[in-house]
Amino acid sequence: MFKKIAILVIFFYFLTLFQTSFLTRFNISGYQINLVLLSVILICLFAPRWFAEKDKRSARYMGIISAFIAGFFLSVYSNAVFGFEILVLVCIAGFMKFIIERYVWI
Amino acid sequence: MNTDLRKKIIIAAACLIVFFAVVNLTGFSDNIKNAFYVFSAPIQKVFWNAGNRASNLFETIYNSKNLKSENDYLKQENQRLLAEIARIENIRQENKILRTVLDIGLTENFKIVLCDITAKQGDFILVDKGSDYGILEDMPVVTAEKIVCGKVSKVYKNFSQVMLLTNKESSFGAEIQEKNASGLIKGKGSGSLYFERVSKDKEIQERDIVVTTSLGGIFPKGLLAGEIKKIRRSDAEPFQQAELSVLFNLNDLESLFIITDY
Repeated sequence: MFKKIAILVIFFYFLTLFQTSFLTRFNISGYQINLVLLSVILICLFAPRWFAEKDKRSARYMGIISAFIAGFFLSVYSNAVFGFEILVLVCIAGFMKFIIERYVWI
Repeated sequence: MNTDLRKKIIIAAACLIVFFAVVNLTGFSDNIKNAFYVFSAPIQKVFWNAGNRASNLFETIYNSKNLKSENDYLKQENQRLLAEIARIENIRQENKILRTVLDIGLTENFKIVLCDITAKQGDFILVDKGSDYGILEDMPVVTAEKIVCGKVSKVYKNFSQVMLLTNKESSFGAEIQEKNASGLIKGKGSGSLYFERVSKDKEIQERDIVVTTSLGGIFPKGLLAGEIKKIRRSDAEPFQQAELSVLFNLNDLESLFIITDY
């Protein structure tokens, strides 16, 4: 579990730097793709399936842990109140976890 | 979910909320952010430069179909500018003579601090100079060509956050000098900029250059702010407004100047 969290921290750290430095040049009609948010959504969607066999606990909480880490890094580069992005992403991940566990594949 | 786990989650969430409230209220969040910026600056510099090169490449490919028309337009523009330079050269000579006659000193220079852009988020950018270099909030940020980019909105120890002109909260006095038309420049977000509250009896035209006024005390007078792209007049409105082209392109910039005294 801790190894997975360490990997997530490194992954989201570099992704946030990439998002705020590289991707700022590429936008469509002024809108910029948010890779960090997209990654959190993908992890929320597919982590239950990836880890269902090996590690049940990871399967259930990986989405929320990812949202927390990603939210922290986004908060560092945001102008809003520190922690606001964590709240938003954790709420999104929690909502997705609820829907997936109740209606989809676990 | 069993009751014990639910209790633990509620306690953990409450602790986190208290932690972030304390971090925000004590200003410790600024120290956390500054530490991250210092630690990440070298990596961000690499990403920023790579982004520059990649966007230039894509831009060249995208614009290749318009090259001929753009070339014709630039040739015309070049001729117009050559004529303009000749005219300005005459004025400069005349000005030099008049200065000598009137014994007027050189124009006042700004005190500036050179800074590099390290990140961009929406209509904010992060630059690598902070309170260590005497940077304060509301200091103007300009390019080497004296085009105003924005103002410092938040200062950390080694970094500063700059609010671009195009930000929705940005608003300052501006004028078209040769037409004596003054108004307000307001950002509308997503890179758009408007020149508003311009009296209807002033004849403004497309491609007029709008410069800052010292009204509001943030920007020095005479910095380039934008070029009029589209004018909007309505009988129902007491004023006319114009959409502006932003004169700076962050993709081409690596360094900016913070004016610390003027």
